[in-house]
Amino acid sequence: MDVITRYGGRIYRPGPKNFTPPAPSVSNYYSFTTKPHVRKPRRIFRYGPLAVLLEWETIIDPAVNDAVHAYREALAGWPHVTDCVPAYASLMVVFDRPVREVDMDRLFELQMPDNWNTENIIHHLPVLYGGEGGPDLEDVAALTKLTKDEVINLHCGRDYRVFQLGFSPGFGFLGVTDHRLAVPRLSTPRASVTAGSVAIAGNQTAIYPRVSPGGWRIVGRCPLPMLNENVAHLGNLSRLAAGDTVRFTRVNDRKFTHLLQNPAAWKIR
Amino acid sequence: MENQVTLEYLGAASIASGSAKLISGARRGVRHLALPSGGPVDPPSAAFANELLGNPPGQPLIEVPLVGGTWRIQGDCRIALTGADMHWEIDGQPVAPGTARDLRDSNTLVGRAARSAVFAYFALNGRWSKEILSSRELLLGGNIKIGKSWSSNLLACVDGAVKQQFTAPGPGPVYDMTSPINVYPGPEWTWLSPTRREGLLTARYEISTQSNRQGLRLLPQPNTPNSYRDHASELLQMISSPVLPGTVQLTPAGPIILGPDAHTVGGYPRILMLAPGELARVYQFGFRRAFAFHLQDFY
Repeated sequence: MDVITRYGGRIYRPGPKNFTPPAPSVSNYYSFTTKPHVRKPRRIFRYGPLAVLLEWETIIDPAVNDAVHAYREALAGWPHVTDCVPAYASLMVVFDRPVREVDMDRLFELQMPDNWNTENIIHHLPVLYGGEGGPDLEDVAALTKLTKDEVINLHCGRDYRVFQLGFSPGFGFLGVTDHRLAVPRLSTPRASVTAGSVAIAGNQTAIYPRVSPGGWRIVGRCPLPMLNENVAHLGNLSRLAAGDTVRFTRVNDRKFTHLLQNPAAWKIR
Repeated sequence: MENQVTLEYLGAASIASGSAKLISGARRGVRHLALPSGGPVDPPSAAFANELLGNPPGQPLIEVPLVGGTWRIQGDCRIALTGADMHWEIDGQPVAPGTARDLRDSNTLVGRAARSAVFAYFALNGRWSKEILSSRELLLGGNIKIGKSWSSNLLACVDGAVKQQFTAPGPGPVYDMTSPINVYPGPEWTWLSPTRREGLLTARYEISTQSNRQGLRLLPQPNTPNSYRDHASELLQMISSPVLPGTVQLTPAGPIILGPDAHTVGGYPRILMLAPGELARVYQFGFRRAFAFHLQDFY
């Protein structure tokens, strides 16, 4: 059973003495099997007077990320909670008034259902690989000692979890890619990356939602918009949300152009 | 009665001027979309400007760092100035911060270099145009950068006849510029050795000129003890995790205080968190004012 300690000035319950956070690792992606129950956070901190941080094992792992989203769903409706920000292995809960002892007690005592399940939105995202939209595809093939087709097939060959949004509005960190696709970031980031660029770095992949600087290696381009800036409600601003699933599909030039001109809408949350 | 007002920025004589912005109020419930909270760096001063005019809280207003610059306001409306004292003048007449004035026809607002703090605010009593309120910049970034010759329209509500003078109701928020910045321990505070922690708390910092609304880079003063330095070797890697404005992150280049436009997640240790209200104060410190952190307990 996980040991929960309270940080934030004082430790309430004795935890492991001289706790040292483990160095983050992505190599042990499959080291934790998904359990039928929701993992409890390893630590719960006060993050200033108005927020609390729940933290699980500091690894990039779908089972850990499942727990983050289970807690997010459970806590988002709490009174006085204004935001729940999920990340790989942590969740920040922001209140509109100072966090009270009773809030901490409720967090510690929160019981999650044994068989937690939630709606999982799967996004099928078309990608035109290589060419002008994927200027780094050849470099990636050379770095990984694969052919371009093998790179594309590996990239399309699995589902990706949106572990978290960050970097810029609607930018989803998707993972994890096949270990054979692991490539370093560009040594000099591009000053401007086209919106819709599909890129990889390390063991992750992403779609740049809008023009921005970027250091990931661009292998293709998705014709569908990732942001809807004309929405009345900001909650529907981003196509992707943390916890969603993404499947990439290879398309040809003709299909790409058609989808660019007739983009599919996304599900209103 | 509503009438059209045009606000135009004519530029600033000083090259030291920062970038003025049209700022909306801080946003709640958007950080999970990787949208920064935004909002003014000094919310009490901004709120006071809107309050003076009877505007709703969070109504967009102008945030001006360092140098006021020259603005032309055409149309009958009311203006309120708060925050840093920039020797504001309206048509050559001095206007102190914390003042509201009625304007008629065409007026020129001029501000010089800030002398008491860094950020000044001015608000107008009116509704900004639909184009402004629904703009991509305001939606995604929470602010609109104002360059030379920028202009925008708004509809001002003037109840009754426009008066020439409005009674100044008070100076607005005044910050203590000498006492330490109060902080709480951050999630990774305990990662540092006691010596490093002590070093970070005894050091005195100045704000680097390489600072902006995303964050304030801190430079230790030259006489800072050695215990402050060499912390990079202690920096454990971490996977990115959520952050909030006011977080002090420890980077290889030193501590950074995250501002209202900072990213929503970050990968550097979050060693400290500013107490409520302290972010506005430290942003108003300016570049040459040395300060230290004072660690508070939660209980």
